[in-house]
Amino acid sequence: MIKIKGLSKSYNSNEVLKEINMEFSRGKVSGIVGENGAGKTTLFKCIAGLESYIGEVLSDVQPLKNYLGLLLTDPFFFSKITGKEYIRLLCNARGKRNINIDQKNIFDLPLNQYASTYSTGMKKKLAITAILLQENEYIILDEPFNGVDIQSNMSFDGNNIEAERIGQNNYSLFAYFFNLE
Amino acid sequence: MINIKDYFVLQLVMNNRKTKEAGFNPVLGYLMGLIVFVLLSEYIFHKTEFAKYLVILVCFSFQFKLSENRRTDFLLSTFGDKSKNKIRVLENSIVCIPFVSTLIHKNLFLEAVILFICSITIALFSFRTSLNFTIPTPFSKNPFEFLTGFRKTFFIFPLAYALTAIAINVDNFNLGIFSMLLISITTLSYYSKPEEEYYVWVHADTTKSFLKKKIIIATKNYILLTIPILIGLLIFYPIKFNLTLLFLFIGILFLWTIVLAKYSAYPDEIHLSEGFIIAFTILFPPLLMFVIPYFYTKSINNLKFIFNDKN
Repeated sequence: MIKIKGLSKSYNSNEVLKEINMEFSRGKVSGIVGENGAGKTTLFKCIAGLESYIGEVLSDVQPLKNYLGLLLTDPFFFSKITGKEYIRLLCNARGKRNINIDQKNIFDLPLNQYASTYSTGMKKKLAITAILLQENEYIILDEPFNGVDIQSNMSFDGNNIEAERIGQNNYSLFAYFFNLE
Repeated sequence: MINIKDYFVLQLVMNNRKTKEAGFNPVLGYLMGLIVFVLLSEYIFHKTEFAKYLVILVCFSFQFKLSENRRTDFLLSTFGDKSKNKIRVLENSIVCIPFVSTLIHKNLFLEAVILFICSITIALFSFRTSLNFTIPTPFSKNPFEFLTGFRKTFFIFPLAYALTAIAINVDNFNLGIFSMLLISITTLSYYSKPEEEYYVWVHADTTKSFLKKKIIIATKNYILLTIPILIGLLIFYPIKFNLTLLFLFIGILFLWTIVLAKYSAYPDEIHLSEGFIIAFTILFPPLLMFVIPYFYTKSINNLKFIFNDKN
């Protein structure tokens, strides 16, 4: 469970988020909808601890950031890193070593190529694969459908994400926060 | 359509902004940069007979960056062929001024002329600085600094190892030490730019364990790259083993310094103030004893927020 209590965020005098109160349960998929500039990404960053804020973000796992997968709208990739090495970087960061990455390549990506040569959709699929392999308790997906082809969108639409192929058939542990602009 | 003058004015404004962000008045920043450049060049010329090659190499490395394909494509599409060439020639001329001046000051007139002519010639070409085939590295188990850095600078390593072989062949121990320094300087550059906050945040660590991990990986990888040189020098110059190991140790200490300096300024780039501290330690390495703990403490305080560290 993640509970947000009275969360506010301002950039100087510009108040982006005001007194947000929300609760997300384990195993449930939640969507956050709002117009451009409404503060959805800022809210996600506050939950992740990437932005400072006023208020509280409570969770049943501490610190939340260590159990949270975060897909940013436009994930950044180093220029000379292959898909496989990117996944390894993110898994190592969470202490998940010795994963057979080739076997868990759910989107059939060319993992031995540099990630910077991937198309927008392939980059997003790579980032999603890495986040799934981190075996997070909670996952935030900020605009996950952006740039991804319709076939792939359908495959991870809602709670039918390809977690089963990745070996995480206990995916009811996850909560997905979708940013649907 | 902006003209060439506007382009350079814009570049100046952008550089001034960067200097201000680093905490310096732009004029003062340029002046201090010039002083550091002069001091460093004097130091290098005082310490090694290969200084002129180093000066030329550093100048070319800046110019190759400016000749990058995507950058020149942008200039071409914005200004057209003729103006693009003018801009590139002017840029390379500006970049080579301090280096050519240094060579002239050292009475190396032929080298200065060659450097100037090459600078102008390079300006007329663009280079693909990124190769799309995957260069194998021994660092893929522990991404990312050495992994990506090695691929960007892979040509340095055969060069450094060849220099060691030449050093042994012509019985020049100093050249062997220089090849070790070359690897040291190259690996230091892997830590010169801060990564996106996400790549720090993603670590399920405390601030201390994160820094420890970074330092251990950097040290292991640096030693791995230096091993061929170490073995060569230890076998062929066993009497000078203490000097060889001393340079290895100093290289490791500088690596720790740059890793910690990066995170002490994070998420910004290393500020000029940190740059000066590092420059002073190059001139007087015993300062590292104070500088390393200083950057460590600063990094710990700086990264606490990202790691949600309460301690």
